[in-house]
Amino acid sequence: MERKKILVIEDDAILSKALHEGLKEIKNIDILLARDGKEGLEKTKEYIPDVILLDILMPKMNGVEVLEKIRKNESIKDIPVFIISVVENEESIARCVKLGIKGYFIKSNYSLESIVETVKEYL
Amino acid sequence: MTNQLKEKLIESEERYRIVTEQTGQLIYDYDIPSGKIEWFGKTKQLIGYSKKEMDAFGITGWEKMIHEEDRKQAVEELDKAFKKGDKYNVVYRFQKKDGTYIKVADSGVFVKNKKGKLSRMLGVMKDVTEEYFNVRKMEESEKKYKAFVERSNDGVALLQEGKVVFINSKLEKMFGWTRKDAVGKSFLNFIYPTEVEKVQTMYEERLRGKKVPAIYESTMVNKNHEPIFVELNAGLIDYNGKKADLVYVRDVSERKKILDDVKEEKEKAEGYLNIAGSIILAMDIDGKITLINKMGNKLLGYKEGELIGKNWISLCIPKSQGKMVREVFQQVLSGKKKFPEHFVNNVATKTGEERIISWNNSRILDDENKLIGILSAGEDVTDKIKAEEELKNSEMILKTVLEGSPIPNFYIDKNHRIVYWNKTLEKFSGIKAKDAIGTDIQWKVFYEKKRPCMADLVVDNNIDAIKQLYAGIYKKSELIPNAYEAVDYFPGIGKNGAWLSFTAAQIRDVKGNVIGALESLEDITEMKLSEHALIEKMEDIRIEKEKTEKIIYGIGDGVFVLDKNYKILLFNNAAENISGYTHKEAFGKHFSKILKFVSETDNTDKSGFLQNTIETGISHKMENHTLLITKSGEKVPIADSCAPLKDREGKVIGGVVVFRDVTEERKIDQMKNEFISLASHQLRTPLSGIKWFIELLLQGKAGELTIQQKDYLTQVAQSNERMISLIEDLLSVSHIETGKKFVIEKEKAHPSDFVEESLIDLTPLAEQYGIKLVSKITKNCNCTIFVDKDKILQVYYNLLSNAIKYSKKGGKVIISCNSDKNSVIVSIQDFGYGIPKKQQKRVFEKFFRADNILTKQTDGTGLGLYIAKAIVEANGGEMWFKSEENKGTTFYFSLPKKK
Repeated sequence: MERKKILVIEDDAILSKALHEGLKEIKNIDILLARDGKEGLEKTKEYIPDVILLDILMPKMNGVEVLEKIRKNESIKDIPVFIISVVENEESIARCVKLGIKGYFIKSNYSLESIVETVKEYL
Repeated sequence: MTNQLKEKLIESEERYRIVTEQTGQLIYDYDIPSGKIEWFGKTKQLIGYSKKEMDAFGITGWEKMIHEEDRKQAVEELDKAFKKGDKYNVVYRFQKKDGTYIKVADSGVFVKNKKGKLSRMLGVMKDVTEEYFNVRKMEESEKKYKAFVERSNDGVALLQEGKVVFINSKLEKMFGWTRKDAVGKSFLNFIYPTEVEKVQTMYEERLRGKKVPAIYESTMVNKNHEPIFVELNAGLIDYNGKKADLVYVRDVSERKKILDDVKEEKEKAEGYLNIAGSIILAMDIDGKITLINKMGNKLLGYKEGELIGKNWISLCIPKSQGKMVREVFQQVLSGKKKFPEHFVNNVATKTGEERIISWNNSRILDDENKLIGILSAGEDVTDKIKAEEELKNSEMILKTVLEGSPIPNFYIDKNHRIVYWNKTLEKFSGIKAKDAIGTDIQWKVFYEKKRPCMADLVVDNNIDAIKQLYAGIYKKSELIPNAYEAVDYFPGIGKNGAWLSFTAAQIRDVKGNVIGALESLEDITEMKLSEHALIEKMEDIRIEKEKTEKIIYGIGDGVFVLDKNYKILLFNNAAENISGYTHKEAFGKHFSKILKFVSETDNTDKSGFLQNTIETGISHKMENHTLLITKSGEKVPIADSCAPLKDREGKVIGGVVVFRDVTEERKIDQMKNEFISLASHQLRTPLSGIKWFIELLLQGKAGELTIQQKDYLTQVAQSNERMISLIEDLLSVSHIETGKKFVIEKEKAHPSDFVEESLIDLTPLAEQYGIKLVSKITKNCNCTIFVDKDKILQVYYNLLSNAIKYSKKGGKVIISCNSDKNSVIVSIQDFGYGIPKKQQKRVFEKFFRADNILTKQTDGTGLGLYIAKAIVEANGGEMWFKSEENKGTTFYFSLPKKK
């Protein structure tokens, strides 16, 4: 069976690690961690992920921009994206929704488990 | 007539008499109008008749005495002279008593009366019988002639061919020339220049044989070239075979002077007699009028001279008074000691009209002090007496009218004497009428010291004094002509002084002459006092009003007041500043013209709070996020409220709105919210970290946990959740505050669903607190509402969790749902601590936690109700509660059924 890939673009180290630990549960997946948007997009050149978990508040390039880039990128534009953020900014949410996301999680409101469960379904 | 005048008159008569007596000539005084002639001088000596006889002859007698041959010419010449008004010089033969004739030269003057009419002849008659003319019959013996001429008492000159041939020594003496000076010279050299023409003419005509007066007056010059008045008596004679003029020259300076003096005296006498205003009357002891002046004639209506000789009493005294006057007359004549110098009686004019004359009488005595007549000077006082009577009449009328007046008044005459003082004034002033009338004590009513009253000034028409003495307090009466009124305070009247309003009016007779002044006064003290009290009160009110206004105008918040018609009655400085409209622009206008309150979100009109206040009489707050559109179109965020204004009976009469520009506040709020937002978001990150790792731990991902470890970790997780919760609430609050659209996604929902779900969610918490959850849902709750599901669920959640937390252990919480036509009403009831009454109004405030639970519960952010209420309202509903301390609380909220 082909191993699925999950790309996590998250700048906070702790959260990144937590997500990694949580996602580990899923069988036969590889977890790709990126610290910022640029790194994330670079990684897509190597591997086409099956799901992307994207943070909004990041230095250099914020999540919305990354999402834009993803959607513009032919090879990765159809990949399901989940926003995992602390930002509840209506504007951002609307933009993301417009660009096409599968879910918007406010980090502190969701357990790792629930996030993992949701992501699983898109693999 | 004064005594002085009388004396002068008598004096001049005296002088006149003396003057005439002294001359050696006859002088006569002929009064032409009356025809009476009076003779003076030694009549008996010259003519043989006594003066009395001569006087009695009169003018007709005189004429008869002229030689009949001379008469015609004499009279003619006199007439001619009279017509010319000239002096005259007539010669005629005059018959003496013994029948013989003397030749007389009658020369004199005509005296004019004041009118310029000739009324008198004053003349001198001289015996010229002396052989002036005889001399012409003289022989031509020069010697004889000369001797004769020398003998003459008069100056004589003989002229031939215009030259002086001979002058006698008398002439020499008279003029100062010597024979040498004169002989051979033209006689005209010795004539005064102004007379030269006349004399020359006479001379030439005489030579020609024309009829010229033999005797005439002229003026010559003496050696010193002084004029000498002369009488020339010229006649032709034959001398040395030729015609010559023999001229007798008499110096008549003295005579002329006498005549002039006499004339002057007579004229003076005439003058005295005709002094305007006085009638001068003289009568003899028989009562016959001997003298009456022009005035007298005029008054009585007679021509000059008409009255002379008539009986005064019979003719001029009215029958009614005849007896009385006769008595007086007798008294005066008899020289009784009681001699009435002053007397008033009526006289009758020619037309029968009666006039009242006031007489001043005196006796005329001759030199032997014998009474020869009465001299009276009279004044026509008819008009004066009539006026006095009329005045008395008017005064009587006035008195009658004023008698009954309830207003104090008094009336003074032209001389400032009180004529009338009414009863009311007596009472007012304490001065009796009998003490006032006739005096000038009117000032005592008003003042301590004597000074003019308004009536005094008015009667004198002294407007300047009125302006001065009553400056600022007087005014000309609008109702009464020639009247002035004033209001003043008189400290001397009564105990504490009095305010009086007084008016003084001129009283005039029919002719318009001022005859007095009437003054009336009114005590207006009480009125003034109440006026003062009123003024003071009004002053107090005004001061208070000013204070209040200052406060209102000064306070930093905008304040405006509306009446019940929403018109602006007050608009303070801050309101001006915020709205951009001035007080003037705002005043009186309907508020909507000046102040537009709109919603920040949708620009809808938000002035409802004003209407609500005025209609309901309850204060209303402005809705949040209300903007005021300023004059310039700017939108200013404002906040605050409207309170009703009520009258004494509690009826709403308007509203007071206090508002302030909250732009700054908003900015700060904005910043705060941004900060909260930012902070919250930042806080979420580490909290998420904690949350997830705890989760991992609890899942055993890091190894098997002991029970205790699990327990501890659970505690940590719970604390963490609380923090996360708090942050959620803070973020919610900041969203509410910033007025950002509460993301309302309305969906169809059923009220019962929420109940179910929230009950499920909160069962653990309820168990924790030992509370039983009960739901009561009525059938009609099976309806549809359109709400934001998530948010409404939160409302249920917040209310329920509160109810659970604030219940006492073992209690229950009831959640009910009901509905009416328009909305669904949900209630959550607990039987816990309740909310103290004093704090109930703060229940929906952010972070509010009542005192009574603070001590018991540390759990709780104090934001739950605030957020719940905001959500409900955002969904179109309302939230309220009922609570009693230690009994419990019930929270209600409604949600509209309509979309």
